[in-house]
Amino acid sequence: MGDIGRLALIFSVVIIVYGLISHFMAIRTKNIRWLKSAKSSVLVLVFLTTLASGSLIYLLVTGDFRYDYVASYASTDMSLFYKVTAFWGGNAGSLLLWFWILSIYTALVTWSKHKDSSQYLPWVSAILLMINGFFVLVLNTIEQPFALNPEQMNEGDGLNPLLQNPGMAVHPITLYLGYIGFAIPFAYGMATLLLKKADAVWLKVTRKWILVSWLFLSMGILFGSQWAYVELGWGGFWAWDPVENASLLPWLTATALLHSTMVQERKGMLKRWNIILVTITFALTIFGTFLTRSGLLWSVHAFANGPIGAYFLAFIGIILIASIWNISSNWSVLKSDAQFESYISKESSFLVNNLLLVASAFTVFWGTIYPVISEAVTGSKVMVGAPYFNSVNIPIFIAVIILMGVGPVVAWKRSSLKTVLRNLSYPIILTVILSIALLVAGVTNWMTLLSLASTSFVAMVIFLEFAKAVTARVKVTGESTIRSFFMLFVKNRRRYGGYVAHFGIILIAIGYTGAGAYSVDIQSGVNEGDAIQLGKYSLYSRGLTEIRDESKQTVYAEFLVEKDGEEIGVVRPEKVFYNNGAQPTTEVSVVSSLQEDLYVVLNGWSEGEETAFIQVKIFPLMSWTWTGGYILILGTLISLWPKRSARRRRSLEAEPIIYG
Amino acid sequence: MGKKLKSAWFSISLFVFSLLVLLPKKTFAVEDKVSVSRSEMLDVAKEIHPPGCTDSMTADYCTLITGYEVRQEITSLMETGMNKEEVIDFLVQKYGERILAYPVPEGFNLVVWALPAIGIAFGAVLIALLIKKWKKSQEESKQSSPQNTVLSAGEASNVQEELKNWL
Repeated sequence: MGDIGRLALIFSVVIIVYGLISHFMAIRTKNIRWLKSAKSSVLVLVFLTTLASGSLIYLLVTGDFRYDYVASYASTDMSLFYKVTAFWGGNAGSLLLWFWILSIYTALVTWSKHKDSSQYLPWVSAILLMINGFFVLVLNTIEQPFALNPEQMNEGDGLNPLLQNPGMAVHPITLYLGYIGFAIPFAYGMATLLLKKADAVWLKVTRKWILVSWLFLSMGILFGSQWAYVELGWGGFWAWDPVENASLLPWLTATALLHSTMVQERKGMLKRWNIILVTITFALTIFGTFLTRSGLLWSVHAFANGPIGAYFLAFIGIILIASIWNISSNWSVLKSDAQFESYISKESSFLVNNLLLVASAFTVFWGTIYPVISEAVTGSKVMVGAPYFNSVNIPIFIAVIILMGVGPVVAWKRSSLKTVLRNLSYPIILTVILSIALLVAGVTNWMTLLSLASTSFVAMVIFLEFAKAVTARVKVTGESTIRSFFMLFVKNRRRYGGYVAHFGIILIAIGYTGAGAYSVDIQSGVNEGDAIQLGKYSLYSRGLTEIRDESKQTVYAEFLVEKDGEEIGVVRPEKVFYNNGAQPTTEVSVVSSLQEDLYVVLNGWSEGEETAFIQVKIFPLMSWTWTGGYILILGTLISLWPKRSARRRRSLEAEPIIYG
Repeated sequence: MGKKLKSAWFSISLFVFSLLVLLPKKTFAVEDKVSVSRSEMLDVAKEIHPPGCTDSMTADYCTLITGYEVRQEITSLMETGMNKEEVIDFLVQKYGERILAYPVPEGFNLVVWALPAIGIAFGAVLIALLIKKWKKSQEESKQSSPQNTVLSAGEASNVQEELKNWL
C-alpha cells in the first residue's frame, strides 16, 4: 500500500502539470475538448489524492512500521479511532490531508456552474491547481508520508497523548477545512482581475465559500479552545499562543471580508479593498501553516521543524508578489460604481468595522512576529504574551462590539446622527441604567464594565430588531408571533442568521469577561476525608485511585462535591501516563452550569499516594462562551441555508389558487 | 517505562508540595509578614513569564516547576510589603527583562506598542478623508445632473425586493 500511495503522489505531479497545460490551452484556444480534458484531470487528481490518503490510513490502521510516519505516530495499542486520526498527527500526514481536501475543493469548483462560469472556471481551476502543485511538491520532496523507516521496528511511538482526545480529532479537520477553503475566493479574485471583469459575480459566487470557510475556521477555533480547556489543565482556553494567533488572523480578516463584500454586492464599492482583503486572508492561512511548521516561534501546537519553513515562506512570497502584480496591473478595472454619500451610513459603518478588524489582525500579527523582529534588530528576544495582546486588542474588540449594535440601525446610502440616536434611544437608556447597576454591584474595573455594558447594548439592539420585524410581520400578514419569528429566517436568512451569529459573539464576549475578570482558584494538598472550600463549593476527598490498561496508567482523585451544602455529584480529575508519553496528560473535571464552571485539576500527589495536590477554580459564566460558539455556528448555518428555489416558490404561491 | 515515569512524577509532585506547603512556613516565617491573598499574587503573576515555560505562558497558570517557583517568589516578595510595581521591578532587576510577559514600552520596543495605535489613527483619518472626497464628488455630480425624483422601474423593483427582505 505504501508503494501505491507513493506512486499516487508522484502521478499527482504529472496530472497537475497536465491539468495546468490543458487549462491554459482551453483558455487560449477556447476548444471545448481541451476544457473537458482539463476538467477530467482534476477528477483524476482527486482519485490520486484519495488513493494516497487511503493508503496512509491503511498503513496506520494495520500498523505497518516499515514506514517512518507509521512508526512515529501509531502503535499497536492505540484504538482504531486514534490510528485514523494519526493521519494528521504529524507534519507529512497533515500536509497530505491538506492536499486531499484542496484537491476535492478544486474538483467541486471546477465542476460547478454559475453565471459566467465558462469564463471564470478555467482560470480559477488553474490557480487552484498551482496551489495544489506547491503541496504535492512538498509531499514528494521534504515531507514524504511514505518514506521508509531506516530501522526495523515491531512497535511504533504512538500518537502524542495530548492529541488522543476526541476534540483534537475534530479540531484540525475543521481548521483545515476553513484554511483551505479561502483558496477558492482568492482564486476567483485573481481570476476576475485576469479577466478584467469589474462586476461582483466573483463575490456572489464565492460568498458561500467565504462563509463556509469562515464557519469551519470558527468551529476549528472553538473546538481547539475547548480542547485546551479540558486537556491542557491550566484552566484557560486562549493563551495568545503563536499558533492560536495564526488561526485568529485569517478569521479576523475573513470577518472583515464578510462585511465588506456586502458593500460591493449592493453598491459596487470597495472592489479594490475586497480583492486586497481576500489576498491577505489567503496569505494568512499559508502564514498560519508556516508558523505551525517552521519552528520560528515556540508553541505548544507546533510540529517538529525542518526546512519546510523556508518552502512555506517562499510560497507566501510568490503569492504576495503575484497578487500585488495582478492587482496593480488591473487597478483601474476595480473602479467603484458608486461613491459614499455620507459619514453616517451602513457603508461607512462597514468601513469602520473593517478598519477595526484589520487593525486587530495587524496587532495580533505584529505581536506574534515581534519577538523575531526584536531579536533581529536589538539582539535580544522579548516576550510578547497575553498582557500585550489583551491590552491592545480588548479595546478594539469592545469597539467592534459597540459597532455591532450601531450597524443594524444605520440605513444604507445616507442616515443622520439624529435618526441613529433615535433608533438606539431605548438600548442606550437601558445600557446606562445597567452600567450604573453594575457599578453599584461592585463592577469597578472599567474594562469589565465597558465589556458588559457594550455586550448588553448589542443584545438589546438585536432583540429590538427581531421585535420590530415580528411586530411588523404580524400586522401585515396576521400570522402568529411564533410563526412570524420563524418566517423572518425564511424570508431573509442572511440578515437574521447574521443577527443570530452576532448574538453568539455577544455570549462569547460575556463568558470571556466573566471567566477572565472574576475567576477564583485555590491550590491545596488533601488527604482522604479532607475538604476543600471555594466559594459556594465544598469538595470532600475520597482519596486517590490507580487503574491500568494496555496502553496507559490512570491515577485519579475522587471528590464528593457540595454546592451551598447540597450534594451535586462526584468529580474525578485524572493524570494519565501513556506508555509512549514523556509527560502525563491531564484530564480535568468540570461541573458546568449557567452561572459558572467548577474546574478541578489533579496536579500531583505525594510518594505514598496519600496526599493529592489539587487545584480548584471557579470560572463564572464560562459555559456562555461555548454556548455562544455554538450559536455562532447556528447563525452561520442559517445564513448559509439555500433559498427555496424560484420554481418551488412559484408552486407554493400557486397552491391557494389550485386548491382554493 | 510507565513505572519510571510515575516515580519521576512522584518526585516532582513531592518537590512541588514542599514548595507549596513546607517552604513558605520555614523560610519566610517573619513576624511582620504582610498577608497576601492568592488573587493579589496572581494579579502580579499574570505579567510574568517564568523561564522555561512555553513562550506564550504567564506565571499565573504555567504548570511547570518554574511557574510554581515564580509564584512562590512573588508571594514572598509581597509578604515583605512590596506592591505590584515593586515586585515586578525587583524581578526585572534580578532576572532581566526576559522575565516580563510583555515588552517594556521604551527604546525600540516602543514600536510594538505604538504601531497598532498609529495604524488605527492613520486608518481612521484615511477613511474620513476618503468619505469627504467621495461625498464632495457625489455632490458635484448631483449638481451637474438634473435631479430625478421619480423612481425608475428598476429602482421601484429594488425597493419591492428590499421590502420582501424585511417582511
